[in-house]
Amino acid sequence: MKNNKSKFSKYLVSGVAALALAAGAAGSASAAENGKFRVGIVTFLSGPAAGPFGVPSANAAKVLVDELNKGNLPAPYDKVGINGLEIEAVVIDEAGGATKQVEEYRNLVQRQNVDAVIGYVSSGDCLAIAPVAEELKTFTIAYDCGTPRLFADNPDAQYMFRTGLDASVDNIGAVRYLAATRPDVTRLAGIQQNYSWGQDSWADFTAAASALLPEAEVVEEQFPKIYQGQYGAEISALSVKRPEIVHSSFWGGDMEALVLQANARGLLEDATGLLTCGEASFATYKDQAPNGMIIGARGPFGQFAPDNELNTWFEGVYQNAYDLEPVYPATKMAQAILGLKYAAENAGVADKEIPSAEQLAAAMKGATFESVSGTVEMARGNGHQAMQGITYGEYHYEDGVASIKNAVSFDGECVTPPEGVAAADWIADGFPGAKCN
Amino acid sequence: MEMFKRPVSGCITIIAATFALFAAHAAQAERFELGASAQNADAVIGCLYPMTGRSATYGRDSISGIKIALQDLEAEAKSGLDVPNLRVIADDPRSKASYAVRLAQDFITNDNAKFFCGIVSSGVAHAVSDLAKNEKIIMVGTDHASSRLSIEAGHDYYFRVTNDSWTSMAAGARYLRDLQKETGWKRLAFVGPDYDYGHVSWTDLQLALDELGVEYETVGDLWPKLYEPDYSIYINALQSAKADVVVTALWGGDFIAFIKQAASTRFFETTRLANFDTGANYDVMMALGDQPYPGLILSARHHNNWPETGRNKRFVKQFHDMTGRYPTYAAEGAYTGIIAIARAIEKAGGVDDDRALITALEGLQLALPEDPPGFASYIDPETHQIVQAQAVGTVVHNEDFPPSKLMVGNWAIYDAEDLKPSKEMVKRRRDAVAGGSEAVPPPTP
Repeated sequence: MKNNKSKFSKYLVSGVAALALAAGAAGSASAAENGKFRVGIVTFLSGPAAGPFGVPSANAAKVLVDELNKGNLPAPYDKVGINGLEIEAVVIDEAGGATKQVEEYRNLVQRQNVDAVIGYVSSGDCLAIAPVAEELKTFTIAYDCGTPRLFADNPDAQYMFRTGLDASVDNIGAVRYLAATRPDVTRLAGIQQNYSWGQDSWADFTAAASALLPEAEVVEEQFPKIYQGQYGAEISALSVKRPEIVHSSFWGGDMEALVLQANARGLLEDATGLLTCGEASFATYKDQAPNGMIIGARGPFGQFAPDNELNTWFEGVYQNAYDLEPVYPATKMAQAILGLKYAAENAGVADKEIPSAEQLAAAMKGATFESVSGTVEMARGNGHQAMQGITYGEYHYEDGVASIKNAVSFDGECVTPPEGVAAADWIADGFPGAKCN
Repeated sequence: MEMFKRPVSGCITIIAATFALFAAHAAQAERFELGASAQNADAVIGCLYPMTGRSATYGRDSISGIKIALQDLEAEAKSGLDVPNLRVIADDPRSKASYAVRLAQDFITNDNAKFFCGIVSSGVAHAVSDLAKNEKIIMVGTDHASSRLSIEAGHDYYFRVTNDSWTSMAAGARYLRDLQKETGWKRLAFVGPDYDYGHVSWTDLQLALDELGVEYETVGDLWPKLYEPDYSIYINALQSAKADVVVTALWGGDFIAFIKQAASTRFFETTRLANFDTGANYDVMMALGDQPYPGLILSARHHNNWPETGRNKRFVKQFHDMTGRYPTYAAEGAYTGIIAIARAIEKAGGVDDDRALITALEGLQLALPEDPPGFASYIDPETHQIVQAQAVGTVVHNEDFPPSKLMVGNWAIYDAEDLKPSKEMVKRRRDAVAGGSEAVPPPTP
């Protein structure tokens, strides 16, 4: 398994190499010609999001495809490959921006003849891809991007699905966690990347806080540029306001830099960090993150995934392959692949037959399927958007071992706006219909 | 040739030169060089701290505080932050103003110092502050406390980053006001060292009590010399005066000696002894042994057990990990001085523009170990004095910081904003010095 790890790592660390692999595949065969189920896998293989997001995701895709092709998964996914067909993954780099990704998507569909596409960490990329998926009538699963606008902007989507949760859930869940564990907190601050992801996350967080933590006030907010890398001025500005909680929706290299720098500058001695995407670096923080820092996994993923047979199996093969526990992007990639497999095998086609995009979409819409994160209900976005619960907990590192303490979970209907209701309206109205355990 | 003509004078020259050489060697032995090398430094800071005598603890702890600050800045650099590379040179002025000025001048000439820092004695600080003003070197005071330095003698190049005598006495006055409501005390006496700091402290206390409208009778003000070995006559005088409350500005070994000598009499049976600026220092806590003398009212510019914030606990632990002992307040002051300089350089974008550095320091906010939750210290642009909260309390058993068996507890907390001298007060005091007003008791020499 060591060889496996090193070989795959080599091609993951270079986006160029990954693209070359895809180009080679394009020249050889189409799905119909070689009898394989060809899946485009898109995630960051270069740039600051590669380390914490793209590489774990691609690693998860690699190990899961390998195991699926051997028929090694537990039931109900023990059928070889997808619907009996060997899976061929075409992995490409998400780096380069939305325009480039649209071009790459067209390449995947029109030149490489993929049967489905799974991908996208960036919300901008998701928003750009969604109309193209409809135009090209290609079954596509967004596995990680979190913008609530994905289906708000594409209400008639037929081919686009998302098996992860949106950012509103992250932030409503974060506030519910504070209300459950620190109801007396009074001083909140935030630092967000200055684009829609950061702004929307902060808007949802502060709105939910004003509803659920009425005694709390926002004492400081900072919006540095994405990929800024240095946050000294922002950390000092936060420090002098002496917040109790510092919320951040930072992700990737920005998040890791923020934690390192805020820790070095003492901010995280005074205040508790609350990182909605924090679990992505669970395996690499070690003692560089303070004990007690609150982290989320954007759903019941990574360290927060349930102790079920599928997840136990997945964690085992992932750890064997890479000597690391799967963080949430890996779990979410696995979930998207299982969602695709579920749709293909419940599309009403014969064994070893590739369903059409329409058949895949019909099977996926409104479905309930089992996953490494438990049961997934495609219960929002007119049946295109997953609804699940979310868990937050505290990072602890002692004697060389990282762990989660004080985890608290919230049901999907506790943190997800009802169908057709915008998160902002739901929060402003006081979460009508919320069902919290 | 001159030497042959005047052989006696020549001998004197040789002897003087030999002494100077020894003195230079001795000074060299006391000199600390910390942080970046001369080649790699973005800025050199020349600091003056006592390394010998009764106040050596303050110098020793200040050097450790500086080391912690440099370690923190190094950790920040490793984490990816663009922090300045600082070189700190520290030397011992031996509590002598003229010698301190010479060392400070050497910092400029020989070491290319851009900043001065430190200085325990307010008298020495006055002399170095004048040099800083003339030479246009920014001085960041980390320990001395005479409010005269920032109010009457304040200038563009002088800043101070620990509580001054005004802040401490403003907190003390509030404590005494509240105590009076409880006990009805009336008779107040003061005992302080007979130099600038002592006299200014007494002036500050009277002004602060007057501002609060506290009515009291002054039954004595006594002025032992600095490093006085025998306080018995002063203790006798205070007992004879039948003071209800004695406020003192004695500090360090002097304060410890005073307490020890007072404890051998019936002083504490009849009198409350308050020291609002330096009394709760850790060296005092250690010296008290296991005796929480009744009537002691203490505070200091930093406490190891207050506030109970992560940042304070971290600083105290860093100090303990580094030295194996717990810090006096001087350590946190020196730490603050270096961090303040680093942040000012960051804010100013370098060290080439004095005006930009001064502007950066004016109003600079810092989250410090001594800041309670919800507050961060800042430098008042008007006086260049850091604005900080203060906690005053009494002595309680607490063995969390061994070998001390006592610490201060029963805290009364005073908000930083309440402890700032009013603009009117600053103006009156500055005008008084300029001869424009008689409204303020004149600061004594």
